Amino acid sequence: MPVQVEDSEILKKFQDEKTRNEAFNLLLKKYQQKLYWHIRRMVIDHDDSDDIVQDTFVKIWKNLPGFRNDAQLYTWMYRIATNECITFLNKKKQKNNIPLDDVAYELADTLADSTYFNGDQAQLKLQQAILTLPEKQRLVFNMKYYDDMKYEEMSDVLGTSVGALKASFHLAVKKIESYLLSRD
Amino acid sequence: MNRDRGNREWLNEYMSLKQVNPNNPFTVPEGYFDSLDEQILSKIKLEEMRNSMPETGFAVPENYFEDLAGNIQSRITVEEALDKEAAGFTVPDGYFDNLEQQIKSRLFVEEALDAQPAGFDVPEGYFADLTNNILDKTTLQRAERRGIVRQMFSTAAFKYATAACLALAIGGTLYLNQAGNSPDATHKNSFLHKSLSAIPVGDIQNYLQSHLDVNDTKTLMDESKPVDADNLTHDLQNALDSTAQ
Repeated sequence: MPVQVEDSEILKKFQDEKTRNEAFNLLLKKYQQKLYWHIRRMVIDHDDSDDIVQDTFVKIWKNLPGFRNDAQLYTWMYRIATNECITFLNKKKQKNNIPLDDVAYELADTLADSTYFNGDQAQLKLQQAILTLPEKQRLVFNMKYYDDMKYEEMSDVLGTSVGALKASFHLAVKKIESYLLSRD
Repeated sequence: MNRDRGNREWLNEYMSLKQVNPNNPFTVPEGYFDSLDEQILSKIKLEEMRNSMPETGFAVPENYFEDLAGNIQSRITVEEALDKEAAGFTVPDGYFDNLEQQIKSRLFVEEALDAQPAGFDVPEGYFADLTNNILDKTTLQRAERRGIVRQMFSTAAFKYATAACLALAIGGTLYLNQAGNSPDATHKNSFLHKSLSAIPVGDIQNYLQSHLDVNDTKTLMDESKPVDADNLTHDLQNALDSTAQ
């Protein structure tokens, strides 16, 4: 397993014109998979995720020179990826002229037909349960359940207070548990 | 990022969720992440090229856009001048559109005219005798016409006769008018003349011999003068005056 370079070291290299490309390569290797899975769990389809993750890193490259150290690089990149996901889902809703909630049904169909899903029945059911949640709760649940992200970090990413995030998370978990219990 | 994967005590409250395998069920195509960083870098390069294209990809000379309007105007002026030169010899509108049709029509007419001698023929030697035939007919007819035609008003005697007739007619008319309006004619048409004419001549002579003197006879019987009403009145008055004395 390759040694993870600290974010501070990456940012330092990025400030230097000579080592900028090297710094960005390190950034890619460190975070590309994390951002991809974050995106994939939101949009489900691999090809859509591929497009979004590439667009996300293009934006990171463009905006990294203006990045300020008062925020964590990690949460800053997650915020960009999250915004790209929300923009994509909104476009999908407008393109198909359907309510945002109905996008979840479309994503569930995509999940059922997906070639790149290797989970068992319980995992499939969990994903279906997650897709029944509102968008914000989906984000909170995924970041907590799969990424073990702290509420403070989620607050940086989503721009929501920690208390509101805790409430959202508990609501989400209750809904999922209920879904899993009611539909066997 | 500080992860505490072990801190999942909250799952103990949700047994159904706890039983689900927490590992990522999604997969990606084989080798996807091996090439993802290269794809992202290529996309960034493309983005940079696309963004920088207007500045470096297609350059224009300095002050190009400042001079562009003037250059276009100059070009328009030159083009118009060239068009005018080319228009030194003009043709009517649509001339060349109809030219082919006109040429074809003209050729058709020419061919038709050329074909006419074969269509209308004359007897052999017709044109050789045509001049003599025309002369014979025209000179003969002219002579015949001279024997027949008369000019009604060409002789001088006719003119004089006409003038004499007119003079007689005018003169007669004037004479008759004068005779009708003369004192003698007036006297003959008067009541006195008509009344005296009915008296026999012998009675009149007897009357005059017994009742009138010599002066009266002179006045009334003077044949050299027509009876004048004024003179008659005057003479009668003289006679009365002398009788009264």
